[in-house]
Amino acid sequence: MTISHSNSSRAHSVFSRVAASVVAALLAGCDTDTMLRVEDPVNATPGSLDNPAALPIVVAGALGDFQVAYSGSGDDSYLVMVALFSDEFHSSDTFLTRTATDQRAQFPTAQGNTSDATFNRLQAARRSLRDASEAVARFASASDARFGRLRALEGFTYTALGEAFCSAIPFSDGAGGVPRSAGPPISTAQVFDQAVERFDEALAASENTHLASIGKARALQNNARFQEAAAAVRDVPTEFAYFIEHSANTIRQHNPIFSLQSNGRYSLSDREGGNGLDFRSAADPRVPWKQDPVGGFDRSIDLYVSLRYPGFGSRVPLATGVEARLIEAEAALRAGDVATWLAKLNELRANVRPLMTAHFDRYADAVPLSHPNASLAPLSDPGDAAARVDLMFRERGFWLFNTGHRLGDLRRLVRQYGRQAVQVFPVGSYHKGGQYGTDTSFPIPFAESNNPHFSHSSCDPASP
Amino acid sequence: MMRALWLLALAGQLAGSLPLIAQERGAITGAVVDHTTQAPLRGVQVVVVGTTLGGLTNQHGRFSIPNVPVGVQRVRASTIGYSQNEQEIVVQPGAAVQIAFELRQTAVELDGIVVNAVTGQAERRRELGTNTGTISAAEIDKAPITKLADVLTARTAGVTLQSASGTVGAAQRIRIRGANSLSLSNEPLVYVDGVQFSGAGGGLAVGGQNFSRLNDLNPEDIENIEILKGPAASALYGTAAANGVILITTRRGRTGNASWRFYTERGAVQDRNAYPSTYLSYQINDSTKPLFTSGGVLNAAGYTPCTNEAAARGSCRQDGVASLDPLRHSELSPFSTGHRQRVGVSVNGGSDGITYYMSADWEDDAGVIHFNTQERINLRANLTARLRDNATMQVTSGYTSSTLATISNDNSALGPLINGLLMAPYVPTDADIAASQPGSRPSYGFGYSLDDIGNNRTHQEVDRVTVGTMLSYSPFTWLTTNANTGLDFFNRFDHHTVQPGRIPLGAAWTPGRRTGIRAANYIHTGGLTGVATAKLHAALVSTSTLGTSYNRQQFRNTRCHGVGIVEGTASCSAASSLFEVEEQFTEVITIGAFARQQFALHDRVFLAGSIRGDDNSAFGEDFGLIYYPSASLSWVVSEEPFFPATGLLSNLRLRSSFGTSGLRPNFRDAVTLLESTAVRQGDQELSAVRLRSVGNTNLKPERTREHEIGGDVGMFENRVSLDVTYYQKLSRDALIRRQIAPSFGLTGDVNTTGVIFDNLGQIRNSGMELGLNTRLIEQPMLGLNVRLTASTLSNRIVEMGEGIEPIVFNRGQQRHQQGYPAAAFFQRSYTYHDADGDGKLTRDEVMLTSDTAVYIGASLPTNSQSLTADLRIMKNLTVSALLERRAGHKQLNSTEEFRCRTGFNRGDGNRGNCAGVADPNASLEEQARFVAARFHGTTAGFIEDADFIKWREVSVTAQASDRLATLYPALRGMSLTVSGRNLATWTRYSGMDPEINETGSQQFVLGGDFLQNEFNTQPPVRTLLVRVGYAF
Repeated sequence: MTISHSNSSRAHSVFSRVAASVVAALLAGCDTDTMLRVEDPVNATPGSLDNPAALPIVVAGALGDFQVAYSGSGDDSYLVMVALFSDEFHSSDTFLTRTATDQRAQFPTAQGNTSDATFNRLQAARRSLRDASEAVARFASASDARFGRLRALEGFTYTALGEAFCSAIPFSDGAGGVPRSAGPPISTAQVFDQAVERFDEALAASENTHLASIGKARALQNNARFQEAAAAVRDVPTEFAYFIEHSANTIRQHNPIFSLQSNGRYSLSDREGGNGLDFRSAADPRVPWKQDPVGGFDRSIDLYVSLRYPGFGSRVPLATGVEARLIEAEAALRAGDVATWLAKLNELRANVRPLMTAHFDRYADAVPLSHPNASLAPLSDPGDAAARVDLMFRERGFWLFNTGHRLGDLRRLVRQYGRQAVQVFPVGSYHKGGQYGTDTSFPIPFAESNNPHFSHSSCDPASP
Repeated sequence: MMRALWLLALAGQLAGSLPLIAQERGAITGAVVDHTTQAPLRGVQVVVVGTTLGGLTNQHGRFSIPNVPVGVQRVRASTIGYSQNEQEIVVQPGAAVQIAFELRQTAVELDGIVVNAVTGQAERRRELGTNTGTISAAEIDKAPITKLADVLTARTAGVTLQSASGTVGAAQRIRIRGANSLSLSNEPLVYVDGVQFSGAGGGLAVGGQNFSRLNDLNPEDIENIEILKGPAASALYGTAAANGVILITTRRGRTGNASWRFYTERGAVQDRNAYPSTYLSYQINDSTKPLFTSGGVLNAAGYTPCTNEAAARGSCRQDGVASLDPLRHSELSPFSTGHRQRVGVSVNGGSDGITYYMSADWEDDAGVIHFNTQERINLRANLTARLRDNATMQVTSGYTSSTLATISNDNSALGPLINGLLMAPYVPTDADIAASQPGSRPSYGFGYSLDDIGNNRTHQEVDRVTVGTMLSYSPFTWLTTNANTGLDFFNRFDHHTVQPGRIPLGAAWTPGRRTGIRAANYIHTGGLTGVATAKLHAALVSTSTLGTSYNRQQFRNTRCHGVGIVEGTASCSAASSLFEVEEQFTEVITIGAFARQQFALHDRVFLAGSIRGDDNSAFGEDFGLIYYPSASLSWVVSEEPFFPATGLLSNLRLRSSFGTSGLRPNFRDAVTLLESTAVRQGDQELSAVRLRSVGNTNLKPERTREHEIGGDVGMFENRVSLDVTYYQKLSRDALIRRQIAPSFGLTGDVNTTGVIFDNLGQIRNSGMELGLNTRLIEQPMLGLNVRLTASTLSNRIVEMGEGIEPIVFNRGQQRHQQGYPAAAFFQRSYTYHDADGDGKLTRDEVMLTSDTAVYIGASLPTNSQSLTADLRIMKNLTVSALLERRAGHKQLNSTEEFRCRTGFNRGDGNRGNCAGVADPNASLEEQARFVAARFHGTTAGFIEDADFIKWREVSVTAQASDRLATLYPALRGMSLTVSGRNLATWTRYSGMDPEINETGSQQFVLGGDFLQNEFNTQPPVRTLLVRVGYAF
């Protein structure tokens, strides 16, 4: 007996009905969570760390973000960009964006610049430090020492942004890893005011915060509030230092100066662009260096290596008593007290070895006692105001070499001392061809175009 | 709940399988031959119309279909390249009815078979409303295939294969009908015998290229390839199929005695590319001095460098020029003749109960840079067992073992090309080399000679197993249920060791270093399908399909790295410093259910509709299911009674289809993630976290909807066929990597932060495809077939999302911008005028003509053509050739830009060593593009037309003739093939090759799927092979 078409059709009809039912059931929606649950043993979520037990991890994360932003992670960072853009380093690399930064002729923002990462990381550290300090306040207390430290470091992110970027810096709210509200740009002076607020919050939370005191003084100094700055650091001992720690453990923790000089990307400058300081030829014990026989990465430029950071794990002093004394000295100079100014400078110079040894790893290897230039002679008053300013900034340049201060100093010379940019920044023929440009600060990255309150036309990198 | 649905679906199928009525059965047996030659035809599908019963012919052309209901049955024989044939017979109870078919060859492809990898259902092309690309075994067998990419290149309209590099093992890009996604992969989905097959790249960085797993598949094992070009055809494949689907079927056993095939091939691999010379022009101050110092530096005591631009300004005098073609220089060239060899054997055969196909293949490649080698072993065993008259089980399995050694190129200071192309025009002497160290070799760009570079080899070892099972059970003649499972697994071990002192590139290299990556990738495929067929009317056949599918992809990766290894060791555990360990893990699961209904009227009008619903673990938690509908109409007009069949117009089919499919987001794109890290505080390493990615809980897949309309025409008694197709795809909800303004503080120190994926965009691709297949000459002594394919592509970003700025990448030179093609080139434009007519341009004679970047051109080809010709002389000699043209797109010549701006002519302020800088005879155009880049900041002059014509392939095959075989019986079944690949390129592009790109098929850098520039990338090589085959 054969199956009839009608039977086949009937069975087919049954099948079709079942099919329709199943798909209809699916289309009606169902809970597939169980079947779709996947593992992720590698990553955490903000929610999983929102508890007291996770606080040390959150705080450590914020400290790590600050290290990456300010000092670096084996690559370009605030510390490195400031050195490259100013007269501390010059490019011995083949990367055109690094050359453009060194030459102070940065690319149009859409093309991207090396300094973009600096902006991104400083902003990320700012957000991360704020999240962490609020977690400390929530799960411990606002008087917890960690709160003050985190707020102070948050202040340093403002200070670094203000010193390096153009005078139209936006700040937006990304608390908790969620983009909440976009903010408008504020001027350089307003950025330093914001920094001072953070340092004051840190000081209010904890008494013994030399870090915050120095940070506050640096921000005040940037806004030409010299006497207030000096007052802020009055109690900071000269031997004090707050270090950004590095480690050879992971690439993210590498000291960037050592890492980038090790493979020849940047070379220590000497009178760069005519106006630069004589970092090499001065044979100053504060800037120890050596020549690398292999040469720069581009195989065209001689490579001079700074010995301040001799390894992947070398610490970077963020704020020191030396800087406190220099702030006091400058305040004295502004107040017309030349004797105090000179005394402050010479007090530091007289202690160059213990201070450098305390503030820089393996300094004794770089400048042994037997070194012919192991000490510094005392300074004498050069006699006129302009020369005193030159000397003041020269001393800052050598003491604070490779600590992220130099660009802020050059811009202050223009803003606060009436110098022209062409008198303080490297100018003239550039060593890789062409001329130095006119930029005196970094532009805001192109991605900030996605902030509806920001326009790139408000940011002029050629304005100090 | 979903589990319940699975059970429900299964129950539905089982319920349908319960016997409703007793049946009596008979069998059909027979043979199929070529009408002209009477030669038996292998692989012809013979089916009982209106049922799911059928089978394939063996190498003797014979077939057998048991369990056929008694009564009048219509039996159809069809295969690719032949017109189908139907006959009506009467099946008697318990008896076997004999039937014979003679099929006529045709240029019109209506009756080739496409097996749906999701449903397991075989469909004839005439049933499909889409233009499905087909590459048959005959096409593959024409010439030795070095890798799977060779098979896919230029065979099908709308399918673009881009070989990114001439490096052995390097991956390629596959694009079908343009690019749908700005943020996800644009690579198609690949199935091998119904098992999803990973084509993932990955491994250790070697400057730019990566290495595709797609080429693990042995081309010798391929029976045919079907290419579903877009959602109109691939909707049933769901949330991964928007880029099209490549269905690969491997060879199967045929009933009969064992049939053996041996082959061996051997050949040479050559670099035949032209490379730019390096130049240094100079002023002579003291000609008694040697031009160069021993270090390859222009001797400042007697000479001053003088570029064209400096000479034009009058600041120096060009008294001489030195030049060198380092990559062609006999003492400096890194290239030598490589080799390739391959040996393989396969056997197939079997009985009515079980058939088998087994193969073994060994291949060994050595590239033109002799450190670059690959050895691969492939094994395959495919079994088909008839468990019962109404149940078959098919098991396919493949194993690959591969060992690749490669070196850096592209963007690496340790690449042989960059070290050559940046050389000063000075040939270092043996004494120079002996007196120098790696990294400071005289003249070499970055100071590394080829011997130095050999100390920086990277190795990749892969073991891969792909296994699939398909259980097919037909409880009734009208119902078949299929259950398929599959696993594609590979274990990859990448390792890189530099012994101490070999590469003195800073503190992280000089002490020696070791990196090891062990990765495991799993793809699980599964599905249950029921296919019911019914004759609703004498002329109307209904086919209903219901099924579920499951897909799970898991990737695990562990990396170790360390510096300071002990001489002679190669282990992370031997490293003394900078030790790092890193783990990665991703897992994505897709579950889906689908239903499809097709009606066939008179076997010439086919109307089908389907819907698939998917859920996926990568969707945002606030997003539920997604549905992919499709519909298809195919009408073989020429088989209608009213059609005035003539010799001139012998065949006509009209088709149209519509479909939607998707692309899922990547693993955990929907979730804000924190990544573990270490932070040093107080001389302790603390556990910490950093922001890894910002999630979007509303994330959903990209949906691509495609409309396709076209027709197939057979003319001159089907000696000429023409297929024309127009398609239009619109990808909605396209994932945009929306840059978060960095001022939010969410842009960190890894690439994935600072962006949030949002379903904001729309991308449109549209174009025409044409295939012209002609049998121009068909004589016993001479045959000539010519096939032409052509396609156009219009790709546009229709919508980027409100307030979203263009996404800029490739060093600022490419961007995704609304209203323009994806990844279009943008730069400021310029012009030049040699005002003083001195043949040299100053920086003032080159002027910007736009203040902002303007559109320069597309990076994807906008039209492509290919030409295949097969010439047969007598019965035994065949000559085949393949040419391809691509046009309408641009390529960035970063190699030349870098040479102009950064070449290493020491002592020269500009230091460029390209012709535009330092060859006094350089054209104004060459000079202008350098001046514009160096002094005006625009690289527009290096973004060049990349149109090309390539002679891809030629082969000559001689089969042992019957006469020869009679005289020398041992020669029967023997063939000899001589072939060449990549034989010539015609292009105006001035770089090394218009097709190569710096980043290969990498996708994990911004714009990585679209980067279109060469940067010291190794261009394609020429392969010449001789192959001997022996079949009996």
